[in-house]
Amino acid sequence: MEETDYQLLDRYAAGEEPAFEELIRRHQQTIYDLAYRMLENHADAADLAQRTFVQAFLHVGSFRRESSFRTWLFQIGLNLCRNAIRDRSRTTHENVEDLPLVAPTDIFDATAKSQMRDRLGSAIRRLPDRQREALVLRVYHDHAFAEIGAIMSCSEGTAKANYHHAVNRLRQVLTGGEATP
Amino acid sequence: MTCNDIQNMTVPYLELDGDPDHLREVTAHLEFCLACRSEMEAVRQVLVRLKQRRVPDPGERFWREFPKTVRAGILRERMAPGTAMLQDGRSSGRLWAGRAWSSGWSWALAASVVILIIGGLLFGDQLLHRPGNNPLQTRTVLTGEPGAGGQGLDWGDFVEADWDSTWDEDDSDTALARMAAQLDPQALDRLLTDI
Repeated sequence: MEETDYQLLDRYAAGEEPAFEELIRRHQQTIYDLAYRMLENHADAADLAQRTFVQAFLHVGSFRRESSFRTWLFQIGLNLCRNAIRDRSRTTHENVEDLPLVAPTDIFDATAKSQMRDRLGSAIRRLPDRQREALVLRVYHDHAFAEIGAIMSCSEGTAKANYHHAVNRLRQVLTGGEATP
Repeated sequence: MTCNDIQNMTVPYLELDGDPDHLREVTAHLEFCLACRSEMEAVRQVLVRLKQRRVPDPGERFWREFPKTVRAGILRERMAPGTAMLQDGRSSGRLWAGRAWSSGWSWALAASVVILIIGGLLFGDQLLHRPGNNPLQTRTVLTGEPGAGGQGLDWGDFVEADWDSTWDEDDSDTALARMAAQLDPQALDRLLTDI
């Protein structure tokens, strides 16, 4: 019978090395998937997944086991994602003035082509953060809304509403012909 | 149930998330309402397309190495506790920035003390209106011994003392250090408090 995460954590606390590796192997793909879907590139996702586990093991003493270890990892990972997205937007904003001037038609042309290639991806990127988080947790990680609420530190109803708004917004963008920037 | 109600029920309906009676009502409505049926199908398509989006697999080697990179990250953080990330995900960079900021203030304070000492040397006479030199103070400076009673010079005496020989003999850093060593500790404390 497979050991539970709690049992592995107890063994890790007792200094058993294999428990550490087993805990990571058990959840590494899930956390990487979450990071990739939020950040959309391998380098950032790999870095963020690593940092999620580092933080989890550094602060494992503060894990009160009121939720599953997986849920706790999601909480840490999602917080790191939020900060990464915020930092990224700050960086982008700061660099705008450094961009070389190009004929406006070139920019629009390139943007239009890019968006044609991945209209859904573009629509997802434009979702408000909370809606996007709820969408990712629900669609790709099959979390119940109560669990999404626990991860996002909000009520089940709020998690549900965020998810519904996200799906409806995507539906409008994809089939309603809503203008994309 | 109106078409508006159905619009608000599309996602819960497709997720089978809701009161079974309500879901049955939606089904009944869809059987005769073409507009709502096509709306429902559009939302279903969005969910299907979302599900189809795949994350590229970074490869076997990445997964094999991953626990090692985590271990290395933990060691790195433990070696430099000041750089630890907070559990809520706030970047440790802010902690570092805070420390650098504090450190910057320490340097600024030290620089201010030096500037005040130099300023006192240059303009002390005018500021304190104390004419002349005290031979005792001059001797103290030249011999490197603290002032009378081992207390060092108070601020007024300090700025009036003749430091020329100190400047002549030492480089500026050493001279300042020697001068500071002559200052009464209490006077120095008061000076720092004022700053």
